[in-house]
Amino acid sequence: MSMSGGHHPEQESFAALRTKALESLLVEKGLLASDAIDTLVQAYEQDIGPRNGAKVVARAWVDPAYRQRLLENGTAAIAELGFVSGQGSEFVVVQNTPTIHNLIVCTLCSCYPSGLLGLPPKWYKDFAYRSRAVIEPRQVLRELGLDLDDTAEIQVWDSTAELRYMVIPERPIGTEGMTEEDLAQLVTRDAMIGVANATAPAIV
Amino acid sequence: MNGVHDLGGMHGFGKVHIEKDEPVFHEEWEGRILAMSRQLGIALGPLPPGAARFIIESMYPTRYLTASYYERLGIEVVEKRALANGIITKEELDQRTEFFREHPASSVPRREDLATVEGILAGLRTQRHPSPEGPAPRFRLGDPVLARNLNWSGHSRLPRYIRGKRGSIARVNGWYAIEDGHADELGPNPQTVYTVGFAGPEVWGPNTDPKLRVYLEMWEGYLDAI
Repeated sequence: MSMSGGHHPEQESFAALRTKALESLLVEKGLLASDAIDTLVQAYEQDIGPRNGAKVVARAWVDPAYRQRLLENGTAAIAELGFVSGQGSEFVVVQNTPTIHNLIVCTLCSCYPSGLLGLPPKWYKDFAYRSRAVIEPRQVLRELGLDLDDTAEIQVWDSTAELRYMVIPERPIGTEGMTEEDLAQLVTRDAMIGVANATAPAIV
Repeated sequence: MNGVHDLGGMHGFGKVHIEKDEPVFHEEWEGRILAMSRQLGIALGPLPPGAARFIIESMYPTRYLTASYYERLGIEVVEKRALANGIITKEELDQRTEFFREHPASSVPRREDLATVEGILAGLRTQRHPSPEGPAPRFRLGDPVLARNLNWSGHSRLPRYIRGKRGSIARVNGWYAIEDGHADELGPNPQTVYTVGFAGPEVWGPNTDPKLRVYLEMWEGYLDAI
């Protein structure tokens, strides 16, 4: 490697090197299959993500009977649409109303409904969210741009066992007559965790 | 265990930063180590319930607090499992790490196995369920309960912030294998897990938002009747 003018090519992090070391040793010893690693990475990068949860929410918005089934038995209701919770063994859906706002967290680690929302975003796993969501959720939401009414109750769900949760955000006003597919576009990951509302439709 | 991972209610970590359009993996190694930890669960068999989390929780506190998520969940667990099972030695691992540092253009060897690929895909499509049977639940919807004050050093899913607090049963869930390191002292296994609701001021004190309610999932053995 040339070192002209004191410039050093960027070195890989220790974590990247350690991962290569582990992968190479475990592949050599027959414990890992490289294509299976590729498969999982691709599944999470391309196939499994919040668009799944958005479909469930949009269906709940247009079909009151489905919403009821979702609230009574989330695991069975998402299976109707071909989804699994990913992690955990029971899937529980909680709905936002004008007087109740829900927020999901895992204070102890990072439990998350990965089958519906994909892998959790970094902020969900970071210490600030894990520590503050259960003690000062209103302030956390305000900092993220969501100002709850003082009269609204806030319910925080700490995933301490094998249940996994998802929030049905309120359906935005001005969405009457929209197709289910278009409604799903308004449902963000942040809204299904509870740190945001669903997006308002574009004003034409 | 009363570790630094038990973060509920702690102060000092600053603001929550949401990265716009964040990538699924920020670095390539993150996705690969996640996939490797899943595969090890198949190749070596699953760890007992809670054991993988306990490996992470047992990192020395300053290591836990300064390591990134995939360093904790991925590298720590894969490394510890591989070493504990005698698959690799620390010397081998350190030498190989050094090799890749000195030879950045070297590629990782490949081995392909369709059966493993199919196993991974099947796993992604599988819905797990609670245990099919267990003892009659001790508590019913609405019952007042007290979170026990247990401070054992093994793995626990009873956060410090809830111990000794009074709540009420909000949902009676299924039966689950106990994940606590002290399973033997928590009653029948598997046992009912309850969703328990606690009023904010009960958990955090008198100046707390009275409109806050915190719900946790709790194994029956974590609860006392009141």
